[in-house]
Amino acid sequence: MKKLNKIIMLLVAMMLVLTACTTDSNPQDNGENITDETYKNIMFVVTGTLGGRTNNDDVLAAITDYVATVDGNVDTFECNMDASLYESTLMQVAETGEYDLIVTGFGTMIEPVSNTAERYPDQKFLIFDTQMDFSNGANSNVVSVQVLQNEGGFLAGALAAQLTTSDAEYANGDKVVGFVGAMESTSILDFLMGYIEGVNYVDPSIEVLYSFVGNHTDSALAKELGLSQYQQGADVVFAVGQNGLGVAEAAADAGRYLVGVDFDYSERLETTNKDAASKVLTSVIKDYRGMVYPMLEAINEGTIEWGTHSFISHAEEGVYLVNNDYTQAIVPSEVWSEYESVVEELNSGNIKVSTAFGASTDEIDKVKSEAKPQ
Amino acid sequence: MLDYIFSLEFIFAVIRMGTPILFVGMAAVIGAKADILCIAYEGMMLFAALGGVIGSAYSQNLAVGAIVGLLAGLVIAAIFAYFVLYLDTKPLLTGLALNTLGTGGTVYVVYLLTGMKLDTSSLASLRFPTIHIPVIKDIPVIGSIISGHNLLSYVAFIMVIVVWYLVFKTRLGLRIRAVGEDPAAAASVGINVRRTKFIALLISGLIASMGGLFMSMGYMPYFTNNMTAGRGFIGIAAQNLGRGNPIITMIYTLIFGASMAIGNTAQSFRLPSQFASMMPYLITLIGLVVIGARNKKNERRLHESISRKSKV
Repeated sequence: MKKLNKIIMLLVAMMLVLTACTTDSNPQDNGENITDETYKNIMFVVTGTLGGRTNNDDVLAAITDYVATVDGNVDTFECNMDASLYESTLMQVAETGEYDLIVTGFGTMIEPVSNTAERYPDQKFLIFDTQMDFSNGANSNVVSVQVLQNEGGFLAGALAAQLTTSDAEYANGDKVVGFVGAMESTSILDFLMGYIEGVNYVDPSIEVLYSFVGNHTDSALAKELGLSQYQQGADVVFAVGQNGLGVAEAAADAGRYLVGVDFDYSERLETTNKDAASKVLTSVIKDYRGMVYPMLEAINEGTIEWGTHSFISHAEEGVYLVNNDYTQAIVPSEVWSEYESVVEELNSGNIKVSTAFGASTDEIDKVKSEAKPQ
Repeated sequence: MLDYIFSLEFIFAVIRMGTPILFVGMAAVIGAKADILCIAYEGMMLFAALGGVIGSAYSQNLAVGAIVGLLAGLVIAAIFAYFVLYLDTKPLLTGLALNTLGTGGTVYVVYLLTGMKLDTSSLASLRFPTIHIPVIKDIPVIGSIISGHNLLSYVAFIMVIVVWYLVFKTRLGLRIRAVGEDPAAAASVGINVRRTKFIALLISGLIASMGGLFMSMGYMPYFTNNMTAGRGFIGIAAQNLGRGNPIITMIYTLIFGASMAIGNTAQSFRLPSQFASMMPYLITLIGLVVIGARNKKNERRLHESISRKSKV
């Protein structure tokens, strides 16, 4: 009797395995969907996690709004920053052939997307916040989109430089501003290059201190680096990375200013830490919704060519600096009008900001060397 | 650069950065005396850090927050002790598992409570106060060095004396050392080996949890995702370099703190950031080589004297 049970169990297990196989190895039926040129079923492969009011949540909101207009559906998969999952997940999703479009983002996804796109040429991909290599017809089933975040860094640098020489309440006499990045990644270096050029645009004799935490989680070390820069005379520090709250803490301790990134620092801090919120000059925000939504529409309408890259500039509102009550309380009015003239100049396209994307180490080092007072 | 090393800010930075490592170092001293390889301090610290934030945010009482935090860390220590001592699992693997639970589990709890996964900045949690010692703070130089630190930094330095006293001067300390050095001999004189090791691990977990509390209620005013960032391991390294002596362990934690502070400032002088973050580990490696070489030398000397005696 016991033996019979075991055999039945085995049979059931085998049936389960077999049915799993059949659903997987049947992409032909769904392949027709793709040639339909309507993009309804979307898979969003998230590198990190959802639900932290992070960039990925903004992207998901953009996709959700988009699929509502075409009566479609969006599924998500969270990789939890586990890089070993990136490529295997993309491969599995592409293998099912159920999705008209796979959306994913950030520089760490370049290679996984490239490999998957090569293996599944009928699958379409949208990758945001990074630039793919489209030379020699590679990745012809992918589009990538980026905002010119270096322009955000440029404006933050310009405002910081104008404030450090002004008579704002917590500005000191030293011509020094700071920058604390999470890691020396291309994306963060892009912010740094814009920041240095923005400072130098206003006054090349201002020094820019910059340091990197070395990871995305150590907020206490970020605080230490911030404190160290404030002690060396910086009165504004631009914190770029997920551990920026540590630098905000340093700003509150040192009684100096902070420029945040990714979300509105003053809004986040004002309910629990008013003192820290009042030191937030502004936050540079990449509009992920503004980055992804127009791309989805363009893809659906067929107005975008596959195998191309798009930039969304500050003038097109891809990136912006928060201007709220805290900003206005900190910045003296004559400084603000100076700053606005820089914004106009940038939007008119008269200023070309260097970027770390696609730049060689020498080019990046050249901009870094301009951080010293000239 | 040099004037920074002789500045007050430098000393404060060393103590700030040394405090969590000092707690873990002291915890590791007790663990080492009981001869248990415990690497679960990261997990204990993370849970204690989060527990303290949640406890203080919902009760608006610092003491309640501290107790909740310590209990959270203690639970992890108890799980570790139970698995290792009573279920005979490998300490290394158990520690790894609990550290992974610490990074993942805390984020899960944060998400359940706040709907966000990165930090608890939306919770109005409390922090331990900075202490200005009445009379001492008015003494020139010394006063400004000794006064004005976070309450938990003082506790950390007091803990060095407490641990030294506990290990070397109390009956419990004697038993812990006995079960650590020779469990069979200890058992033969009627010491319950498992229970003594269990108690040692709980005390160890309690001290490490204070390091966790410092991270989220002193150093920073919130819990952030994986905020201990390897401090639990640097504390263990300090214990190893101090070879189980609380005082020497403390000196090594201060050396670690100093090397990190110098590395942070050196970054502004264009030292590569990768080099700065490598510093504590480099010092550990050098220290281990020096200690290893010294041990070898002592061993050789012992051999020589024995062979000389046998010739006579």
